[in-house]
Amino acid sequence: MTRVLFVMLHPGFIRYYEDAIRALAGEDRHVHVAFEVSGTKLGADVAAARLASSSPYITCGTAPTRAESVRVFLSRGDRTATRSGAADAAGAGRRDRAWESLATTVRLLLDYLRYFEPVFASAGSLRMRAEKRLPRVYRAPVARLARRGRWARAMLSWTLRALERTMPPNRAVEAFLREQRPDVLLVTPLVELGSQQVDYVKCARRLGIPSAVCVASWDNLTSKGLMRVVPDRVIVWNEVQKAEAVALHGARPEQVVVTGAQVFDRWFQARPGRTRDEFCRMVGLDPARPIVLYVGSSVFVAPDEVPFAERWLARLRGAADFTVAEAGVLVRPHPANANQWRLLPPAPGVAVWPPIGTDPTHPDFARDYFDSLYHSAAVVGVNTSAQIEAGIVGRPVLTIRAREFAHSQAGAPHFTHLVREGAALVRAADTLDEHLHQLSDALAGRAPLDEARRFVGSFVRPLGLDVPAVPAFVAAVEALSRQGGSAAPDPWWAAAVRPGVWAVARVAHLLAEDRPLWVYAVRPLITAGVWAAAAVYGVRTAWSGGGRLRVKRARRAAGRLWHQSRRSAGRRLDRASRPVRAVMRGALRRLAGRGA
Amino acid sequence: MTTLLVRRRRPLLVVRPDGSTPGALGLDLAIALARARQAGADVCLLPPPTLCDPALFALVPADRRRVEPRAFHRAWLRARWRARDAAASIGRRAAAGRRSFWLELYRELRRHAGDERLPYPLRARLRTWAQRWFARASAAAEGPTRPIDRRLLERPVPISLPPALEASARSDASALGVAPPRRTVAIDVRTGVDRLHDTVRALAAEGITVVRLGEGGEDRLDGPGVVDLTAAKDRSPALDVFVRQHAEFLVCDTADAQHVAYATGTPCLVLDAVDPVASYPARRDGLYMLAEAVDLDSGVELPLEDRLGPEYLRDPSRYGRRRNTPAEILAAVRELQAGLREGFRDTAAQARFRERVAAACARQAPRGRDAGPAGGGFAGSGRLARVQAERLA
Repeated sequence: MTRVLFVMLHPGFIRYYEDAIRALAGEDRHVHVAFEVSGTKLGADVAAARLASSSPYITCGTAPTRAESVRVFLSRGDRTATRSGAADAAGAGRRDRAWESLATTVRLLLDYLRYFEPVFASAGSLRMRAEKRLPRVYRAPVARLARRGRWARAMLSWTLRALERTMPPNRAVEAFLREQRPDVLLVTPLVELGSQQVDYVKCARRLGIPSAVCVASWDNLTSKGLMRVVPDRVIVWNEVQKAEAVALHGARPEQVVVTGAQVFDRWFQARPGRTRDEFCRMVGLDPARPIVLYVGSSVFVAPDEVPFAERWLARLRGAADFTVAEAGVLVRPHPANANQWRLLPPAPGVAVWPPIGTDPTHPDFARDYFDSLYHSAAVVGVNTSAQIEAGIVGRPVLTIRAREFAHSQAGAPHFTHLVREGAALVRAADTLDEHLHQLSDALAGRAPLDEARRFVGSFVRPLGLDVPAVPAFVAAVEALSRQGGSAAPDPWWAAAVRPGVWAVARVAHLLAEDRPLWVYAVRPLITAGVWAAAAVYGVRTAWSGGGRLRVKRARRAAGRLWHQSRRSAGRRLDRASRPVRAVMRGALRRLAGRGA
Repeated sequence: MTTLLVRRRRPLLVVRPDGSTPGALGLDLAIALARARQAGADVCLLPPPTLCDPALFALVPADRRRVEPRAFHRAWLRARWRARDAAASIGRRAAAGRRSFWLELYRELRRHAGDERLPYPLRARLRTWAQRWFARASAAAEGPTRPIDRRLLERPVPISLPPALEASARSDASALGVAPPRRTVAIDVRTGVDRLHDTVRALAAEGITVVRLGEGGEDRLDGPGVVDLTAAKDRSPALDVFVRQHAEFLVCDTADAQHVAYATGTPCLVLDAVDPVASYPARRDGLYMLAEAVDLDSGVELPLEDRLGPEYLRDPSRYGRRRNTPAEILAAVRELQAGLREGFRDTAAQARFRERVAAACARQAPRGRDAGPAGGGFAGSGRLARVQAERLA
């Protein structure tokens, strides 16, 4: 039986691979899904439990606990925190913590460095996001160096990659892989900022286990971190991502497998669960009027989306085209950014659906979502994967290039995929007036859908519109497991320089605290002071808690001993001197007798 | 803002305002001119390194002399001001260093206090010491902040543009049909302009021209009696100041615009205010309306007690905001007009609200440049719009 180990950052990634995992698991293949972080956000834990119960060949569990996770690394560097946790105790964990600190630092530095490349020139907010994760002490020097040009960046990157190679394999991860004995290792997403999943790829390579990264979403290769160590296979959706994997992550073209987007397969088969009348009644809109669906975006893309939506609604209601002005508007908040929609004032002909706080793991959630798309005449959003889903369902998709979202539209490389000339899924307008014209066309059925169809064909199902992605994904994993792998030990020089790098790791561990540098100088004194105080305290406690009595007793015993020994010595002396004294007495008596 | 009072036959107040934003410049100018009036001094404004609005910087007080020193005298004053500023800066940095020092020591002790290998009573004692050092850090943080006396802003200082700028701005304004004696109202609202349509219509019905200023956005404010200067690409900064200065009042939705109004002496209605204390109008002819603060987790509106509490005031951005409605805005504009015409009279609710804000102002530690409690909890002489005060207070 083939054993597949699928390491995910958190259970939220199940939604991208649920169908693929079910298809992979079977009598001849067991899939174990391990989560690095167990999360309950958006019901991810429920999804994991559901997946595990769906087949006897699927199991879910946790990945080994890290000596220092990325989360702990970041929280140690939080200057606003008034508690900085316990002192770094010596022991076995200390070594692992130091290496983990160095690994996270090196990976965060690489991730930060990539955003200085010319291709990310307009991605200022992505660079800032990467910068925020880095301890302050590194930011300015790295930025200065990175701005010096391509060669400076290349040198720094080479150094950091060399450091990555010298680090020893993570013991916990290696033990976990030995215990699981997988035939194939899959990881996702691998490209989170500072991701520790690199250790899985490195250990798998060391143990001769073939590995693959599964690129979960369309923005993963451009808006997050680097792969750092490229696994044997990179499983991507389409040719665009393949080009990104090669150009931006250093993968070889033969390593990259294009399968299509597994997450969207179900959208090609889905059918509406309700009639239009039923749906409109449920959400509270007039069935006689066309529905414009506004799809909300994530927190990073649109942290403050409601004022924009209000402005858009006001212009919509004032549109010259009566159909546009009178259209029903259905707002669908992003599940992870829903709370802000509580601020949207109620208005006639506007509905927020599903209600904020709806459980996203509920079986009806996906059905409601599909119905929302299916019964709408046009879909509007800022920058979200819901726009791709709308394209699959065949609805015209529109957006407005708004000033407040410049960071997540012009400043996000993945947005350009949606609006690429010749194969644009989304019709982007520079002004609300232009948008209203486009919307008017869409509601009248005049919107061109050819380009959107071409986009879906090339971006979502590049192997053919009728060819689902899940079987292609399964085939890619099968091929990888058949291919097998050979153990690749660490290079000889890595072990040679490791003792020197260990000192660097200790420094990285300290600097991760992000404290002013004088603190590190003062720390030994404070630590010595505290331990001296502890020693004094220990002595005092020992003294007051029975020590004094013991000394008293000992003194008494010594006195007694002295007294007794003095007495016995006196007696012995007396006894020993008795003959002498008798002789002396006799001699004295004789002398006295002579005298008389 | 560092000020230098040069004592001589006629005292001279030397100031270099912060010219990075119009709001900062406006506030510094208003305070500098008020201080000069208080000290009976002339005023000398040194140009800041970045000057966002030259026309605003060029304003001249009507009741005292604005000295423009030349050559050596100018260099001498600048050197003295720099020395004073450097001393203040060293003081600020030293205080920041002190704060950082005690805070880091506090964190070090807390770090050891969490070490379970140490005996418990020692850890408890470390915690006590740490707390003491934390208190020192907090005290050091309060030290360098010199709260601005909001009373200084209470009375406007009469100002005007220099004659050349005034003439050019007047001719520009005449060309647009917004020069005096035409009655104008200035609007500097960046978001949700569509809410102002009712107000604009009502003002137009009275023969008042509404002039839209500021950065603007994609939202349009059109209709009869509206001049949208945000669309005018090559408008001069002097025109902006001129319009603000001669407008009957200003409707705005940012602290920046409110601060510029303090400098130009324009009565002001602030919409969608987030911080009930910092945004409270300092002047009697000021009015403001609070945006509704909503707890996003529950969707419930925050009651006034919570909005005046330290938790909310520490970081209001954690809460959602619902903006003022068109009806509220119209009512507030009507109230402002009536007040300007007949004099402002507070209702019981408005007076009650002011007392509560003043109490909150006195309670809170100095926060930033204009929210200090100097003057024994004086928040301002303005008021919350009646339409909200009746509901909130």
